[in-house]
Amino acid sequence: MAECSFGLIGKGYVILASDSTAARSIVKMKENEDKIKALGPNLIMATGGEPGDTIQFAEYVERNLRLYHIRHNHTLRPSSAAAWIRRTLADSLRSRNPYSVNLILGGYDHTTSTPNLYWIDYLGTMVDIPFAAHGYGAYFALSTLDRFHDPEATLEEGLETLKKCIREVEKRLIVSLGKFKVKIIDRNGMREIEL
Amino acid sequence: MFLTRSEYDRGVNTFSPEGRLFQVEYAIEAIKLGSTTVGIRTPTGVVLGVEKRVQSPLLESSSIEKIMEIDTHLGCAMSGLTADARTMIDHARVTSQNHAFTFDEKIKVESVTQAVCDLALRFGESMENEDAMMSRPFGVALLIAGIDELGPQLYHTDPSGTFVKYEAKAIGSGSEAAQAELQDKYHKSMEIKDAQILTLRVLKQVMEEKLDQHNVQLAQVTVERGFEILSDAQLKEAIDAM
Amino acid sequence: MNTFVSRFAPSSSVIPNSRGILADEEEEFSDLTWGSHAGFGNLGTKGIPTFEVPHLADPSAFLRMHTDDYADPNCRIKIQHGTTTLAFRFKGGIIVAVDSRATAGSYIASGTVKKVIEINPYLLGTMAGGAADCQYWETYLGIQCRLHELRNRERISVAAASKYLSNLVYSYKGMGLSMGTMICGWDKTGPALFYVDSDGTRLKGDIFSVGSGSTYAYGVLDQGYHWDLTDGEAQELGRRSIYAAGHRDAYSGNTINLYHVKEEGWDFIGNYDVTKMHYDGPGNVLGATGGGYGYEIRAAGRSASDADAIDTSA
Repeated sequence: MAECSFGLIGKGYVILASDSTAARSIVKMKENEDKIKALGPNLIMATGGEPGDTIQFAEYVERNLRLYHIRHNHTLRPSSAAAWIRRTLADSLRSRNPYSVNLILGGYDHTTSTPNLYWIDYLGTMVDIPFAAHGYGAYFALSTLDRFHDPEATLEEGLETLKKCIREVEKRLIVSLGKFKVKIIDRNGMREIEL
Repeated sequence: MFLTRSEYDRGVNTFSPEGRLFQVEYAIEAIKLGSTTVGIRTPTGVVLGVEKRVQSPLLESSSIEKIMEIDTHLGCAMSGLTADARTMIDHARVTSQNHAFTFDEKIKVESVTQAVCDLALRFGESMENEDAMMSRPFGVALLIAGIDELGPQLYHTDPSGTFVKYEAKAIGSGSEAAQAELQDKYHKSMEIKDAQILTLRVLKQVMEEKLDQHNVQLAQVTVERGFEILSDAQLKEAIDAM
Repeated sequence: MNTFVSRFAPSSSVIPNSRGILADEEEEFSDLTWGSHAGFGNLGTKGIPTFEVPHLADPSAFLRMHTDDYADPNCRIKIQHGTTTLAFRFKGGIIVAVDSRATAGSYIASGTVKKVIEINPYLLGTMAGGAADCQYWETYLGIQCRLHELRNRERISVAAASKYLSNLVYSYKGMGLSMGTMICGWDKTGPALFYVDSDGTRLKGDIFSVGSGSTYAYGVLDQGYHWDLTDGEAQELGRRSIYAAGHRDAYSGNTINLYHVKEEGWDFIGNYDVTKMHYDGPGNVLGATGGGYGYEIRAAGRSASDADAIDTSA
């Protein structure tokens, strides 16, 4: 209903942030739901959309990327993983039971030493962008990010920009989304932080 | 029977001119290679006992599983190719659960036995538009023990899909001697303890090794407690009582 | 509140989809084809039995047309909507409490419904949404749990059991299943509680309440809850929370059924009449604080007037 996730790139890192409420109708069923799935040592994915589909799709992607790694003894680069995920969603859209899932994918590509960020929606649209947002938060935060994002920002500056977005959503969106979970990927791997 | 061996003992579903299904008969032979298994019915419950052949001192005898639970009121002991029994027992378990699901009552001992036997002859070449079936008969015989509204019962099934109710039955390599001994010693009004001891005595008689709590296993289905495999302590107690 | 009630109507997706148009191969399912896995795949071709669905472009829309009593009070099939169920985890295990009213539209179809489904001696499921869906699938879950136990010589974990159920209902997504259930049990990890619904959502948590009266139940439950409740306090909290929903929500009420999940399995604590709770309270039971739960009873003789504080001597 009012899910919201953000992603942004900085100097050598990607940050993904997502609200952590699970709501049914007008009721908050849970306040600490992790909506950011770790897909590998250098790839994470924030999911939103139809309840049920989100988790099933995230687990499907996770298992397939893991299988790829086992079969080929090589982990897909973020760009390739993103392409595969987009294609999977596009195929799903044209099936009898499409997944209604929107995603933000963040990864660090060790071959090029660049952080990557992809915005993907349930229609199979994919864009490679420096910052991304899904949900109602996008209506507020995209302009904030247009104004303040810096691809060369340090992690501290990047987190400060993220906080600006979250503060804006808290200030202007009529519903409270609760706490945001924040995960960072850089050359050292993935870690979760408290904002 | 080996005189008449011919092309008729190749196909698993071809009768010989004398009207025999050789592969099924050979499957019954396979059971005579299996370890001895005994079942005794009493008015209050059924006792099952098996010999566990511990081929190596390094083998963990507890991992040999020849008595299995089908449901709370049903148990099963096997002899022959025990791997085949897994399929049959899983089928029995599923049948028992589905019966409970559909009718909200415990399945009868005869019904579950019948269900297992329905599987026995489902081998041979698969027909059109049918998934591959089993390629050969099961090489295992079962003693199915259970309790229902008709009281404690013991059934014997063999690879031909035949099932027969017994008061006391022995199967496996030592079955002939064991069955003779049962015929001699069994009486209708045995206590469950007597049945345990008779089971052990019969097993002891036909076993090559000295019987102890590591190379036999006892289980029982009783009116009060349903199916249970006897614990080490209970087993030792029964052996000492013998 | 109507939108909230209609949440228990067959779900409609954000994006119109044509999920499950037809299972092309119409499989009959005999009892032989149910979930046998050991070695012979053909003995149980599918782990899950499949149903025929109406031969229409959109069977779920068809079903909704005939079951949505909110849009059409004269619809042919009325599905039970109103309910209050709750479960919460605390140091002494899990308390499960539910009401017992079944409504079909504005008609009270029954006041003695068992909304706690005893899956087996250590697993409970609660019932909200379609009564038949919950009853059927949770009993089916019970079979699978029992088979798991026989095959693996180990009791199934609550996490695994709830995952089985959520995968099961997910495979029917969009086809009109309606259930909101809490799977409660005690396994190697201690007391465990999962919320599973017919959208395919599965959440692990400490407190859940489901149904049209859940907001009222939360109102009491959240305010009285902490981890270190004693068994008696926890049972009283469960009773009071369902009472609150039974009192305020027209679609919930009649009686309260209370269960306590402990390490040795679940215990049925009791059945309590909501009206009796209002006037007299539960009587002399564990955790009872005495007196009726109703506001008028609780506040009887108490006045907001401060007339006695005014100095009349002057």
